[in-house]
Amino acid sequence: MDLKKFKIFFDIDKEEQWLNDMLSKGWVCTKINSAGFYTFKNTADLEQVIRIDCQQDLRKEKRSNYKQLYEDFGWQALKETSYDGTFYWLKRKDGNDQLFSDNDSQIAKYKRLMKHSSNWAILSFIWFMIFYNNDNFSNFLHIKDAYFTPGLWDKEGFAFLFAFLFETPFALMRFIPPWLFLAAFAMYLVMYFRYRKSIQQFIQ
Amino acid sequence: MKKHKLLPLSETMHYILLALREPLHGYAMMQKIEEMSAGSVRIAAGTMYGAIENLLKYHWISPVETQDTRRKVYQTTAEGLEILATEQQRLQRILSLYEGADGFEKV
Repeated sequence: MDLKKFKIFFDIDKEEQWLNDMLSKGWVCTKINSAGFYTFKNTADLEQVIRIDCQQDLRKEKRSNYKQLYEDFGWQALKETSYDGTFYWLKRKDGNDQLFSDNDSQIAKYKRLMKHSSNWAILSFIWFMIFYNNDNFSNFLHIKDAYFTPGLWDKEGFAFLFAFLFETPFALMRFIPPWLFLAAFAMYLVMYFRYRKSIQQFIQ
Repeated sequence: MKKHKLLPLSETMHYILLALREPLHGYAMMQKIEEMSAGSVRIAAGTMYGAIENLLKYHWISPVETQDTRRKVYQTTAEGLEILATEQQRLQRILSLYEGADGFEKV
């Protein structure tokens, strides 16, 4: 039996916690989609653990080297490819259930996560600015301004309805992207500051 | 002289450089280090991967050609051995203080 769930996380540690909570209830994650869809399968084996790692810039050869090493240590990848640099690792509990065994490597992990979120925050902001400059700013705040049909709002009855409905998809295409990129920017900014806070527990 | 980022060597780095005086791959390194440290140091996968990348960056270890096409094998370089020699001096000085050198109180 499969269970599908949709969830968005601002923090890799919270996501890991949730996946392990699901495991302790007998649901092992089998598929993760970058958009936030998780597929779970029922399992009787409760003695398993999931850890999330973040590694950017793993090109082909490096990636197979990375995977081989983790597999040698008994970890099994939940996802074959990673577009955002996150890797999900599953294994049976055997007392060595962490991915990192010293402070330096814990700090390095959070630094990678901070770099990742700040890069995406900057990129989202650039995209936001591109959309913002593309049309004028007012249609970013007022959806009415996203309709370009001359005299649309003076029309009445069917003429209005037709013109309105006809342009709505285009208006939404003008209206939504800036908000989407602004939301993404805010999300990555929040993530950045969360990781910056998480790193503190490893720095004296 | 500006101190190197990896100096003084952390316990993890120390054991890896010492273990790699003979060529080993990641998992074998972990096993060897567990044995060398009498079971007190068990390096996790992510820490091992990061340490290897870091040591490669400074050329303190280098990949060794082997028949194993899937697992990369590494060995400490001459530069890495030099680092170990300077660390040995530093640690010997500290050890001698433990032992009461130069009229300092013995611990």
